[in-house]
This record gives sequence, structure tokens and C-alpha cells, in this order.
Amino acid sequence: MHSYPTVPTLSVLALAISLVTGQALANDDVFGSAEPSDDLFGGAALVSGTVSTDLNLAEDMLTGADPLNWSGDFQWETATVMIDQQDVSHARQVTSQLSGNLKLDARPDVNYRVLVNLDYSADQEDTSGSLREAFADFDLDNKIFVRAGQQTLQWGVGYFFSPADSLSQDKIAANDPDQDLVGTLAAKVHKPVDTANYYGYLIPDDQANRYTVALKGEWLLSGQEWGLGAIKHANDEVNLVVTGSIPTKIGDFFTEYSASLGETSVGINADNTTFDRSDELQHQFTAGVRASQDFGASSSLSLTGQYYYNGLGYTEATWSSLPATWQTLTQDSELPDQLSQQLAAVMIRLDEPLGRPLAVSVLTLASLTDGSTMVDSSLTLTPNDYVSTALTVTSMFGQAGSEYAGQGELKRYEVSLTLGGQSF
Amino acid sequence: MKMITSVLATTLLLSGTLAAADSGNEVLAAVDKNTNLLDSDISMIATMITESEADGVEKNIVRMFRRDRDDKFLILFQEPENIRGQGYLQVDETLYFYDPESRKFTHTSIKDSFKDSDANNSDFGSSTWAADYRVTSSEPATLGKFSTHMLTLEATSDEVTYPSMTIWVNDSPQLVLKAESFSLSERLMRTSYYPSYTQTGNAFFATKMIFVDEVVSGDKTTLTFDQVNAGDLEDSVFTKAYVERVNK
Repeated sequence: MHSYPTVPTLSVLALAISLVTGQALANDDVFGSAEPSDDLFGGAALVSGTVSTDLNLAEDMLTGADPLNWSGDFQWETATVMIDQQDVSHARQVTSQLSGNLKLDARPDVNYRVLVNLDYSADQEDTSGSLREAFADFDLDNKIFVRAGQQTLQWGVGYFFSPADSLSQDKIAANDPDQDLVGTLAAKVHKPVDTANYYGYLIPDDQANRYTVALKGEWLLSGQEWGLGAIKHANDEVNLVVTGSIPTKIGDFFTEYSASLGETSVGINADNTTFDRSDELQHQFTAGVRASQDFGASSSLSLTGQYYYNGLGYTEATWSSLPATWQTLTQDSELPDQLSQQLAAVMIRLDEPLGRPLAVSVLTLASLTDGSTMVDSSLTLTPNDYVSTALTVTSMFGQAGSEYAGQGELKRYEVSLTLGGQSF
Repeated sequence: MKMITSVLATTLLLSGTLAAADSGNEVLAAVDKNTNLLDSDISMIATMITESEADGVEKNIVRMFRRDRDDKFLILFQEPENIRGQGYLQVDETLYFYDPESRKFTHTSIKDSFKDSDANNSDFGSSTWAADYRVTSSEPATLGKFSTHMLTLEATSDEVTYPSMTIWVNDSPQLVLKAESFSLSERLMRTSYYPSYTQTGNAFFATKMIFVDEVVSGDKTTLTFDQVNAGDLEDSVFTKAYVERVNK
């Protein structure tokens, strides 16, 4: 006859096992070889120090330690460029340029500041300086915020293409989307309301002797940000734009739609003659995604892709004076396709793989309308904060005159060295 | 008889585990209550030292503002100079990253690492342990001189940075002292230490956080918080307008 432990005995046994296991697990390697040191929780009291209520770090941030502050950056770059193109001879080019930026930030009091932001550059032939931004900030009762002067406007959400942004004087360049843009002379009024933001812009046009007026609202809806804007340009052109940013588990999706009336655009007739389309309602649409994945503290892989339907077609494209050439380029396309452009861009970038001071990126720009493509691959080595060297290979595919192979098919090789690149 | 005894024993063990989990869930709620300040704002200056085998030692100084009652926070970099003005703004579950050079706000994920460090963006917001995790086991443990409960946690959704964690919660006051964060494959990714806190009213704030990278040996990030201030802030601080105004 078997004897079985009683239920109370089992319970006590289970409790004992649970406690012993728990203690063992709790003590196991808590202070083993793991960082930081073993006595982290052995000495000082857990709760100490005092919390004040009389220091306003937010206001203090608006004035800063000094009412007048200089900052900027500087770099010197030299590059060797070689171009390989069938039937065309290109001489090797060596270039050098110093460039940088100077900023003066004056904050006499918490409600007023002036910023002047200057770009400068010099090469063997020329020295130049340009005003990127110069504006004053002030507020009305800390509820309405005004920025007046030359300023970078953020109207769209696109990365390579931003058809919604017809306000900015300087446009995003798809082949260098992170390039700093020159500001636009404007007065901006910003009114945050709860989680929404409302903006009004007034942009003078010296040539038309009139003003461009723009209004925009941005709303957060279930974690997505949507914007709706209207622009009445000085030349009577009207834009209605919608922007959206949709964060997802895959990445951040973004989209823009723009409907415009009165915008300059040239169409092409079947007989190779051109016509003005500015009296038609024209549409532009773009959608894209940005995604990134971190590997450890410093390595990351990012991917950005964007599609752009440019219903405006062309304004001053080369083909408009050579419609026969354009007909050749788009010989398989129907006429409506020739009134628009479809473009796509993809960039993949790997930063600091395996913790090495390297960056590898591949940017591909393609015109789905004329079949031209540009592939820009680069490998950058940055051994320290002051030295950087890069090898860039740019390949262009497509016929001469096309969107991304204006000079026809070629390969461009560039080796560059940047010294002293540092902010101060 | 044998079957009845086995069922009873199993039931008792299960009920013991469930009771421990229930009490663990209460501990998580207590941790949230202890570390969220609901009747005023909090601001502080943080020094972040990132030690990396590949990049050496880097120092960042950031200014942080929190409004736990609205789940908002703002982090602005002051040093080094080349990233001064970059910032993170969380409003209504949306986390923006601001780049002062391009003047662009872009959306970023709460799960991402914080500026090339071993800290994550999610380490800086209000405490949401009870909503983000459920307790699967709870056991008494000691950590140095502190009596704690070691809780094993499972994420309640995939919105969190880590799907499972083990945390050591001090018995009184109930505050997290240590956390081990695991990947989906149950690999230990990071160990976090919270060795010191300060107090205002009934709320406590970690004044030191240490994040040890368990994947890349030797990588570690230490955050030390100074000038902790519980004064009320203007509503405008948690807006894009403020971020644009403080930047150069």
C-alpha cells in the first residue's frame, strides 16, 4: 500500500520550494560580474536630496546664460572627381572649398529674441556669404507666437519631394534631401491649442507688389498627425494641401496631397506643340515611409522611400523647348502621362556597422515616366570628430535630357576629404 | 484519491502563483503611483555619460520637463554644441524629434534608443508599468541592503520596448531598483539600475539611472539628474512653439 503526502504537507513543501527558489534566483548574480559595482545598493540611503519649486528651468532656457551668443561650424573639403562616359572624354577635376555657418542669437529677455544665421563659403575662384535666416521671435501673452523675417518654413512632411510646400523659396533637392534650406521672408503666427497647432503666414512679393497668404492647421488624431492648409499666392494661384504623418510599427508613413489652380505648367499636344495648362485644376500626391532599426547604442539601419505623382508636369523643363525630344523619350506613353511626372526615391543607410566609424548609403532616384535612374552609393569613414573621408559612386541610366540622366548614361567617382568639421 | 490530491496540490500551487501575481500587479500600480507627479510639473537637468567600447566616453547634458498628468514630456539637448537644440517632445502619445538645423519635427518611436545611448526614449516619460506589463511571478529577494520583491513581467501589448522584464521593487517605498530587459527570444538585452531617488510630496524621482548593454560588452550609460524642480510650468512649454523658440 502506498502512502501519499497529505495536502497540507504538499502545500508546505510547495511554499518552501517556492521561497528557496525565489531567494536563490534573487541573489543569483545580482552582484555578480555585472556592471556597475557590487555595492551599488549597499551604502547610501535610497531617497535623498531636495526638490525645489522656485527655479524655472523653462524660462531660464529661453534667455540662456548670456544674452548674446555666437555659434557656428566650419569645414574644409577637397575632392577628386572622375567621370566615365562612353564616347565622351571628361578631365579629372580637383576641387576644394571651405564652408561653414555663423549664428548670432540675441535674447535680451524671455519674450524676445533675434537670430541671424549666415552661411559662408570660399574656393579658389570665389568667396561668398548668404543669409540663411534672420528673424525675430516674440509672443503675445505666451499664447500666440510670432516669427518675423527670413525663416525656414516647414509646410510639408515629404522627405525627398514636398509638393505641399509651395511657400518656401528654397526647395528640397531629392539628391540631397538633408541639405539646409535658405529661408523665406515671411511673418509667421503660431497658435497652439491643446494638441493642435494653427499657423498663419504672410509673405510679401516685391515683384507682384502683393502678398501671399497661407493658413494651416495640424491635428493629432489617434497618434497620427494630419494637416490642412490653404495658400493664396501673390500671383492669384491657389493651393489646397493635405499632409499626414502616420507612425506605425513598420515605420513612419507620410503623405501629401496638393490641388492647385493657376500654377504654371506646360502641356504637349500630339503634334509636338506645347500649351499652357495653368487654368486647369492640377493635382500632386506623394506617399512614403521612413523606418529605422537600432543595433546596440550606435549602429542603425534606416530606409526611406517615397513615391511622387507630379500632376503639374513641367514648368521650365528642357523638353518644353524641344517637344520632339520629349516625344522620343516617352514614346510608349499616352498623352495624359506626358502631362505629369511620376518619380520615386529610395535611400538605405547603415551607420556604424559593428560599432565601426563607417556609414554606407545607397540613394536611388527614378523617373517612372521617362525611365531614367540615378544611383548614388557612398562609403564614409569618420575616424574622429575632425576628419572624414568618403568614396561616392554615382551612376546615371537613361537617355540624354531625361530627368535623372540629363547628360546621358555615365558614372561619376568622387573621393573627398573633410577636415576640421566641427561645431563651436 | 491520488488524482484528487494531485488536483488539489496543483490548484493550491496555481492559486499561490495567481495570488503572487495579483499582489505583484498591485506593486506595479504602487510604483506608478509613487513615481508619477500628478498635481504639478517636474523639470530637471540631466548629465548623460555614455561609455562605449567603440566610441569611447561621450557626455551629454539635457534639460528635461515632464507633465505626468497629461503624459507629456520635453527633452532638450544643451551639450555638446553640435547637437544643441535637438529635442524630443511627447504630446498625446506622439513623440516628435526636432532637428534645429532643418527646423523639422519628425515622428519617432518611444521604443528607439535615446541619442546613441543605452537609454531608450521610453525611459523618460511617466511611469506606466501597470498598464504596460502583467506580473507572472513575484518572489521576495534582497538587493544589497534592501528588501525587495522580484517581479517577472510580460508585456500586455507590443507597444513597449521590451516584451518581458524582471524587476526588483523596493518594499518601502515601492520603487524600482533594478530591471532586466529581455528580447522576444528571452535574451537579456539590458540591465538597468536606479540606485538613488529624491522626493517631493508623495512622489519620487530617480536621480541616477544606469543602463548596462548586455549585448555589447562594456557599453554603459549613466544618467545623473540635478536641479530637480517641481514648480508649475507654462502650458506653452510642451508645444512645438517652445521648442522652436529655445533653439538657435
